[in-house]
Amino acid sequence: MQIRLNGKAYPLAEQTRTLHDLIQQLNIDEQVVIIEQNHQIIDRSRYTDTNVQPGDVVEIVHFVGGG
Amino acid sequence: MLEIGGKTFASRLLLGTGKYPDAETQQQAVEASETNILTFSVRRLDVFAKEQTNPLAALDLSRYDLLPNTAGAKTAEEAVRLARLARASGMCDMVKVEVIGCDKTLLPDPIETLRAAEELIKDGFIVLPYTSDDLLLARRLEELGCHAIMPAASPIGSGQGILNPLALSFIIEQMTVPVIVDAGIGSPADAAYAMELGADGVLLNSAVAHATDPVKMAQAMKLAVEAGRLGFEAGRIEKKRYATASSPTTGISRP
Repeated sequence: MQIRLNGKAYPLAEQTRTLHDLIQQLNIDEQVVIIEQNHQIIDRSRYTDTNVQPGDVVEIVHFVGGG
Repeated sequence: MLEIGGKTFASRLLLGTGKYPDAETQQQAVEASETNILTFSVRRLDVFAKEQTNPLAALDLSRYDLLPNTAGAKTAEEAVRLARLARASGMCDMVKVEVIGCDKTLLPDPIETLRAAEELIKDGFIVLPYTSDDLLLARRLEELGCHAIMPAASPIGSGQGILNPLALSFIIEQMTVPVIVDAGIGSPADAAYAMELGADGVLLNSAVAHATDPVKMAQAMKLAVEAGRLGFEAGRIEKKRYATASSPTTGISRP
């Protein structure tokens, strides 16, 4: 099963069911990212109870230097 | 004190966080600038990299008010989306609306900027639009409820300084919200000039980040903004065509 993650096809691991699981799978710090799922911003407190479905479009962004 | 959307700031210098040679120089330059407001951008995390790096890790962001920009947006919808993503971090409620209409000049698209500003004001953001130096556009933005107006001195990153002081001064004189000269500042003289024209603040990035010594330049910009502001408040003398002696013209001793 695949999702579209930051513009690329990404295979989900068997045990990845929620956004929280996805963050674990990617090994990223959830405190520094903002997640949008199917064009909807997901509140950080909802990661553990938000399911990831095949075909989902997920964008994970963060802050970078800029002027 | 600079006041934007009910917040007050001791420093009138707003500093960008992009393009520094390294994180340590960035951190030291930010420190030397004594700024209260840092700008930054929202971008995709490189989720496919082995290890993620946080480009702002060297900065203690809790000490600053954060001003995310919507750089990268070409339409109002894209700008609004980027602003909402930034706010979802829970770290900021201000946004620099930046909708670029031309890749070569990086000049802002006035119509899209106006539309984005309107939407974001409705959504409760403190909105600071990056705009050209057009007085009527500035007026429209202010009428919408923008909390500050940020006209460009010259194209972003060009370092050409203030190309049209007359247009900038028209905006400065007519706005009741703060006017922050954003983009194009190249040297401390440019920053001081903007402040002498009566600007409420200056926002710059490249002028510091790309200087030979960014830390020293950050300090220079801090002093220039302060000097320019003091000069504006003090009220400069009129320009005259001919000389006026500074020393007494009577009582001159001759042998």
